[in-house]
Amino acid sequence: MKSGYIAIVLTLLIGLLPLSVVASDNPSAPSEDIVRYQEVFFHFYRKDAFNALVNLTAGIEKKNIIDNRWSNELLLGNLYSMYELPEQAETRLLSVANGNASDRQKDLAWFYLAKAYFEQKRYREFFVTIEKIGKYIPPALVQEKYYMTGIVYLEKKQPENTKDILDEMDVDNDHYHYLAFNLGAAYFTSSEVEKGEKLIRKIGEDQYDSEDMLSLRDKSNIVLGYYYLREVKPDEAVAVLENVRLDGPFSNKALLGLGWAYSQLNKFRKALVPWLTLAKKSALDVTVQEAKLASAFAYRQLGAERKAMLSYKKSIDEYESVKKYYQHEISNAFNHNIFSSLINRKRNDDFATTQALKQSLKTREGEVLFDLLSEEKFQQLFNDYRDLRQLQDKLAQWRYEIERMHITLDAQQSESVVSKYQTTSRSDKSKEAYRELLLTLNDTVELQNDRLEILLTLQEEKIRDEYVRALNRKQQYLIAYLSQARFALAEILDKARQKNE
Amino acid sequence: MMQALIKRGFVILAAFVSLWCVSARVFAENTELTLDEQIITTKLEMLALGYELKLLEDELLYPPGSKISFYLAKDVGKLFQLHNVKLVINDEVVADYDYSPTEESGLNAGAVHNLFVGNYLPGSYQLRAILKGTGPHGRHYKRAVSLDFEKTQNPNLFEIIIFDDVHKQQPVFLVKEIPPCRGC
Repeated sequence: MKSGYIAIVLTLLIGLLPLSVVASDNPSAPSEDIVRYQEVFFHFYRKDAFNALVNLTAGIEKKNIIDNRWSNELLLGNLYSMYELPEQAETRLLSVANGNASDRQKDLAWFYLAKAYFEQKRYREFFVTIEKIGKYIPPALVQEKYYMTGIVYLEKKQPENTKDILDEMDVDNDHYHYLAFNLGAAYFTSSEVEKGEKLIRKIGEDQYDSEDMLSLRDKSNIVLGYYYLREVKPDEAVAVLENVRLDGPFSNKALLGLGWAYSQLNKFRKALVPWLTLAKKSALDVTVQEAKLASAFAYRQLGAERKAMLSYKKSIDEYESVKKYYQHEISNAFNHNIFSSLINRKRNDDFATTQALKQSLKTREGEVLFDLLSEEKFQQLFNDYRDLRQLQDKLAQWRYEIERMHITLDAQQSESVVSKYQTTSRSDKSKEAYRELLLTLNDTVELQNDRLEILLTLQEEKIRDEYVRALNRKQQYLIAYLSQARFALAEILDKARQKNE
Repeated sequence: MMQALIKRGFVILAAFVSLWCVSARVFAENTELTLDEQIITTKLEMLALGYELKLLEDELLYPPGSKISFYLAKDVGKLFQLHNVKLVINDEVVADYDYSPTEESGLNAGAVHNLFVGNYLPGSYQLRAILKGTGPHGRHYKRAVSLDFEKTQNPNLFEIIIFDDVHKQQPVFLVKEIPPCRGC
């Protein structure tokens, strides 16, 4: 959804400018001011808001970038919003909305302002702003406007208003399905479960092409499957859980639920198939831990006491090993760098999204962090941490550049270099002024570096606290499974002893 | 000029000194700003610093008399999926860049990448750009495009353009000089 959003923003903003991408037999290069503007979009596209902002503001100052005040303000507003500087974004977008911009630019500004308020959960301002959007925004953004409004009504516990909005939406738009899912989930937690079931069942049955939509379909089938398990409707649970992709992000939950559904049908041999498949995966995953216990339980129900006993014993050994790992991690969380699995610093765009990060997590710490990364609070902590690390990299690069600038100034002392590289040599006075400026900048870089070190330390502490909290939570589940496994094993052994006696 | 530079330096330093009257650690621990607010403040100050350095970069590091810059753009370019570009000036590799799918999408949507900027003495040069990627029918594609150019006393900006020859159903690559902007 995020990349789609960027594509829409980019298309709209470029569309406002006097440049177009048209096929021709011999395309000509556009002029420098247009190229510089397009360069800003390259940074924007790779989610590097910092460089986009620096290039755009410097280009405006030097007047070597397209001089279209309102388009520039609109872009600045979006970039500040992307870089999570809400006040600056609001100021820029309000200046367009209340300024002498075109109707289309004003509508876009109101839309992005409403979106910023929505993301900040400033719902009162959101409702005021959304009313101001006129007829000039494109259909895709109209759908997003409906989606945001529907979600806000859900937050305000007014699902019927959300339902009215959903009825107005285009059923082929992704936002329609996201809103339908959220409304369905809200119905499930209220007394109107049938309405929720109907909505979510529809999403779980529809055909989709994109990965985002396929994930939403899987998620819908999981929600529905576990609802049927709670209601002891195993046949219905099997039908929906079997629709979840085995290579998708919800496959573990689906396998676990499928086993429980067969178990409710007293088909323990069938239940063993998904549980044993799941039990082979990493024992750090809570669903895998439960599957180990469940498969031993299934053996027992099938009368295979020896297999059940061996399975419980193996589970206990594995649980003990995971428990040791958790305890080691909890006591060492402040001594070692858990961020090695968090940060992929090689490529800016791969670094930028938590989704990409999830895919890059391959270590054991990564598996714990994977769950955390689904939480909004942790994502925010991580985003801030990532931004600070990127700023630290920038400082290192700037130190080097300032040094190069000093060297260039010194080199220009030499007559020959001046004549080669400069058409006009600088006066001694202006060189001195540049040197003063460079020294000031250098001091500033050092001061900022000190501050960043401290901010990074504080942020790391926060992330570690969350990491330990997640480990403790996982440990609680594990201890419960461990007790159950020990109890069941003791029961089997007692039974065997009584039989022998 | 000199006064303007001194003023620029003063503005930057004043912004930081106001916040840094004591050591950084004391500031971080005693400030009434929350951690989130400190992060926002830092981001804004870093943007100001980046902006200053960007202005100085063109003035000091890449003066007009020696500046050469190469950009890469796609004009539709549906027939070629770009993976890598290598830029060679007079047998010296000056840029070697791998494009991620996200960056490729950006180029397809009209964004332009500043591939290389450097300083060269006035004179004659030869550029070779070697582009690798996937061409029509998913075939691996490697093409080179050359340009002989004169470095003048003005900044020389070039654009490597990838576009589609719709008749031959083949990608085409060329290098063009970017004209200076009107009224810059």
